[in-house]
Amino acid sequence: MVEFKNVTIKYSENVGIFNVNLSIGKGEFVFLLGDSGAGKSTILKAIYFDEIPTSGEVIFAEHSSLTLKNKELPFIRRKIGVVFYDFKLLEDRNVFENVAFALRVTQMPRKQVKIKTLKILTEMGLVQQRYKMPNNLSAGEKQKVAIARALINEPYILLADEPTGNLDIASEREIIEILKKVNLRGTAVLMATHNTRIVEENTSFQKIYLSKGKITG
Amino acid sequence: MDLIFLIQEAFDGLKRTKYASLITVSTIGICLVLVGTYFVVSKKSDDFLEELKSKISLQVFLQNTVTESQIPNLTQKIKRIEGVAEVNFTSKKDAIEKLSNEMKTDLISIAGYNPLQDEFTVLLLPNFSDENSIKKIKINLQNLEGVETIEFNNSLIVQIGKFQENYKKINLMIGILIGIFAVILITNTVRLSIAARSKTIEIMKLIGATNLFIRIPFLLEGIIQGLLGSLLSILAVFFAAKFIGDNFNFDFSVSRQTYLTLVFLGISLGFIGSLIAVEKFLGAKKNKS
Repeated sequence: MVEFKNVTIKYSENVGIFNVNLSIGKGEFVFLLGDSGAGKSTILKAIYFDEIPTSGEVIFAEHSSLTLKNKELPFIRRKIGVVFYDFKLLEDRNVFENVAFALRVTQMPRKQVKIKTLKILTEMGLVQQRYKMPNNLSAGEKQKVAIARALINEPYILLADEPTGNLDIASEREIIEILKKVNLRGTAVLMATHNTRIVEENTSFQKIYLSKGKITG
Repeated sequence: MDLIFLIQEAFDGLKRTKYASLITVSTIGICLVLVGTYFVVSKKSDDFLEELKSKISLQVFLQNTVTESQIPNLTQKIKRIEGVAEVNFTSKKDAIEKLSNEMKTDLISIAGYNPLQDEFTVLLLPNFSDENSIKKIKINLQNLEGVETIEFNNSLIVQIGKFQENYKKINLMIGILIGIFAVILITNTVRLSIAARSKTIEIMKLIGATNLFIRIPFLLEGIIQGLLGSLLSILAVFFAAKFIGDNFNFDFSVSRQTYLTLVFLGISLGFIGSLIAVEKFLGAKKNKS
């Protein structure tokens, strides 16, 4: 589903990713490991085509970075869920509106938007907080809202960029459990992290090690 | 395209950023008050100059040989000359009577005869009140049979011409300066109010919103802000004109065209400002993605 063929994205001489080859299949759970600046976020950005390779090819589903057209991009991104360490929530909208917004941009009828949004908020344990504004939520709750928004379009893959970076250990474990459940339902998960404890607690998942923009294991 | 949702998004956007929107609308209003005031003052100045020019006239004195029966024919010939607006005939008999009444003296008994001549007062069209046009009209008049002399206040015509020339230049300069000021200030204010929500645009792109879907609510916001600003300026100009009219006994009425121009400017500049801002954020990384 995701394939990198000799991908290089060069920001400067030694910054970026270099000759990366990787493959992620349907329903896989993969940890992308490495220190800050190793190139983890760049790999994620390349998957949702926010970065286009300097050389090589990124393939997501049937879409290739070599033949990608601007007008296709919004529709591809609806098949990819993305969550970040800083949540990227719309601070001026409540929980319900933040999650529903991802459906509204697909121009789904209001009634269906409401039903789907309430369903996913219930699954995430957020239905009671649906009218709360993001600044009235805990960090863990914010991340759950971000995950709900990322999942509401039923993406093929969920990309998580240091999703536990801003969380305490209890919230961190709760988020990992949610990601595991998401994965069990068939959504591939690619989680970038430099937190080795999470990896030690979840040894059964595939791991990709990255250092200075190159895959080391 | 769910147009209702997009319109709702535009109004929601204004509500969410109500203080910023209020500042934007006020700024647009203040700028357009300046533009409206310029329009009104400029129009009044033009009207005043036109009125002044419409009073420019030529006195055409006739030879004593011209008989009363020739006057209607001569009147028609003068009326046909290009640039002539109106022709009034005064016989030498009427002229001396009028003058005698004004001076309360019988001038004929003093002079022993009527020293005045039959004359035409020729009023000109505003566009023919400049020095060159008057010279041409004068030549045409002189070529008519029975015309002896033509008198007019040449220095006044020259002065009005020079004043109008300078006035036009200064007025244009002020207009351009106000225009540039209004365009820069309005488009930048709208642009900044949208730039403050660049994160929203970034998130919209991330969750798969099309560029059109992102663009429309912001453009509508810009248009609404421009419209509200222009309505604010119309209210201010209307009440200011009314106040001046009521208190200073001066006709300061504002034309409907001026009001419509303010609305058009408000909407256009609001639209352009938001378009610049949205395109800037949508354009980021466009070459890559």
